Amino acid sequence: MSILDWVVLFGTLGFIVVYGIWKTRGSQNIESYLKGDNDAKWWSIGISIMATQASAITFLSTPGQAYTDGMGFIQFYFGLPIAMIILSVTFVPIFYRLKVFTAYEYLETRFDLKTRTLGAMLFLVQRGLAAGITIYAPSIILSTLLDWNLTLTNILIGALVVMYTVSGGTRAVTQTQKQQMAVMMGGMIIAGFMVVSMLPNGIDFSDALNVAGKMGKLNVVNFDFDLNDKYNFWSGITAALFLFMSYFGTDQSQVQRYLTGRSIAESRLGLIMNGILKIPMQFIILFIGVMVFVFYQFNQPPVFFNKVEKENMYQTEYAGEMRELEQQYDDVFVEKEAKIQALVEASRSGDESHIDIAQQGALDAQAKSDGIRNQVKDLVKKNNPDAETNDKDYIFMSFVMDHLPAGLIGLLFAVIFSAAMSSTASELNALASTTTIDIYKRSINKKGSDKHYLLSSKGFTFLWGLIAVIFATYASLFENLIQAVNLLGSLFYGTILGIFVVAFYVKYIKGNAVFIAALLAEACVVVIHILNSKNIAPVYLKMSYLWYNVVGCILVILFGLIIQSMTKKNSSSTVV
Amino acid sequence: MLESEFKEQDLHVIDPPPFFDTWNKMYALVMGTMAFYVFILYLFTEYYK
Repeated sequence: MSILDWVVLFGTLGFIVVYGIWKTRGSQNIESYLKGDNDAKWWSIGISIMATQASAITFLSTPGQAYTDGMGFIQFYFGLPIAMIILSVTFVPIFYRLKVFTAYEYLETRFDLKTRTLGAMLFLVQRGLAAGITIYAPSIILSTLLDWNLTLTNILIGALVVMYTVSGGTRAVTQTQKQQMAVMMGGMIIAGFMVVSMLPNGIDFSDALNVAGKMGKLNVVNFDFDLNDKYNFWSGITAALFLFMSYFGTDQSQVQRYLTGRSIAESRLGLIMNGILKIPMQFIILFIGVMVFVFYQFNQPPVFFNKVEKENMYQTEYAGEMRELEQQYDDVFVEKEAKIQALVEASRSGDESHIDIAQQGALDAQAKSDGIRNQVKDLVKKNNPDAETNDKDYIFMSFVMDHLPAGLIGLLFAVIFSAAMSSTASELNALASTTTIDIYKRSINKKGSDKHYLLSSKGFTFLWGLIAVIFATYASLFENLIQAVNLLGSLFYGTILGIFVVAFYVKYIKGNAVFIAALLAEACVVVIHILNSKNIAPVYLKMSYLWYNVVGCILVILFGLIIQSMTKKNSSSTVV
Repeated sequence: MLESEFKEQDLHVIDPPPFFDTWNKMYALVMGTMAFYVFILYLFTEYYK
C-alpha cells in the first residue's frame, strides 16, 4: 500500500474514533449510557441496526460468495421485511411500555427471574464468544493481506472500539455508526463503479450482465423447495424469518439499537428502514462480487486468492506441482477468454442457437478452470492439513489490492475495519448492558447508586472488550471452537425466540413450564445438529442449520403446552 | 403489564407516526416493496438466464 492509502485508512479510522469520543463527552447517567437518553431519530436507528448487522465478514465474504456461487444468497434476506413488521407490531411496543433496558428484563415480568437469567446467560455466552470471532475473522484476513502481526491487528481493532464505546456508551456507538455506514457504502459503491469502468475496451455494462447471467452468476431467485438448500425463496421467507425474528427481537445487540428511539414510532420506522433497505444493500455488495467475476474473465486471476498461502507452497516439496498447475490455469484462462469473447459476440447477435453453443463452451472452460483451482486447494491441504483452503474471503480484497488505484485501496481497507468496529461496538455495548442490568444489578448488587451502575457499565464494556481481544488472539489455536461459536447462534436462537413467542402469544404457559420446555427444546436441537453433522439423520430430520431456528422455536411452544397441561392436571388432582 | 393491554389504536393516540395515518398502511407498503423486489429480481434472473 502507498503512503496515500495509509493516510486514508488511519485518517478515516482516527476521525471516527475521535468524533465518537468528542460528540458524546460530558456528564452521563446510566439511562444515557445504556439507552442514549432515548433521543435517537428513526433514520439514526435504522443506520445503527444495519451497521450492527454488517460485520467485516459481510464485506469480505459476500462479494466472494457471489464470485463463486452467484447472487442466490440475497434470498436469505427475503424474510427480513416480514420480521421487521412482526417485531414492530409485537416486540417494540411491549419493550417501550415496560421501559426495559434489555430484552431479558421483560422475561421476568412475564415469567420469573430464572427464565430472565437463562435468557441473559444464553446471550452472554453466545455473544461474548461471537464478539471475539467478530474481531478475529477479519483480523486473520487483514493481517495476511497487509502482512501485519495477527495479535497486533486484533489489539488494534479491539482498542479502537473500546476507546469510544467505554467513553460514550450507546450514544457513541450510534454516532460512530453513521460515519462507518457512510464509509462502508460509499467505499463499496465507488469500488463497484471502478470495476465496471475497468472492463476491457469493447465490453460494456450490458455485455458484462450477459456474461454474468450466462455463466450462472445472476441466479437471484429460485422457487424450488428443498430443505437442504440453504438459499431459496422458501427458506428465505420461513427459516430465515425465524432467524431474523430472533436476532432482531431477542439479541440485545440489536434490541439496544432500537430502544434508543425517542418514541415507539421512531423505533418502528428504524426497523422498517432496515427491512426496506437491506435487500438493495445486499444486492449491491453481491453485484460487485459478480462484476469482479466478469472482470476476471478478461484479466488473469490468481489460481489461489490467499497469496501468502500460495507463496508458502513455493517453499515446499510441492513447488513443482504448484507451478505446473499454475501454468495449466494460465493456459485455460486464455482458452476461456476466447470462449467468453465468443459468448459476448453471440449475445450481441441475439441468435439463440449461437448463444447456447457459446454458453456451453464458456461453462466448460469455467469448469476446467475451477477443476484446476480445486487441485491447487487439494495440494495446499496435502502440504498442510490445517491450512484454510477456502479463499472466497480473499477474492474481493485481492482484486482491490491488485487493481484499484492508490487512495481507494486505503478506503476499501477502511470499509472493512469500519464494519468490524461497528458490529463489535454494538456487541460490547449490549454485553455490558446485559451484565449490568440482568446479572449485576438484579442479582448481585441491588442497592448501588446511579453513578455506581454507570461506572460498572463502563467497567463491563472494557472487560468484555478485553475478553473479546484475548479470545480473538487465541482463537487460531482452537479451530474447532471457532466453528462451534459460529454455529452457536443457530443452535440457541430458535430456543430463545420460542421463549419470547410464548411470552407474547401463549399466556396459558407459565414460568416453570417454559423454562423446562426451553431446556428440552435446546437438547433436541443439539441432537438434530449432531445427527446432521454426522450424516446419520433420518430423512425427516435432514435439514440445513437455518431450519434449527424454526425447530427450536416450535419445540419450545409444544413442550411448553404439554408441560403446562401436565402441571395443571397434577395441581388439580392434588386439590381434589 | 400484559400484552393483551397493548392495542394498536392506543399507540396512535400516544405516538402518531410522522408520515402515515395508520401503521397498517406502512406495513402494507413494506410488504408491497418486498413483493416488488422479489418480482424484479425474478424478472432479472429469468432475463439473464
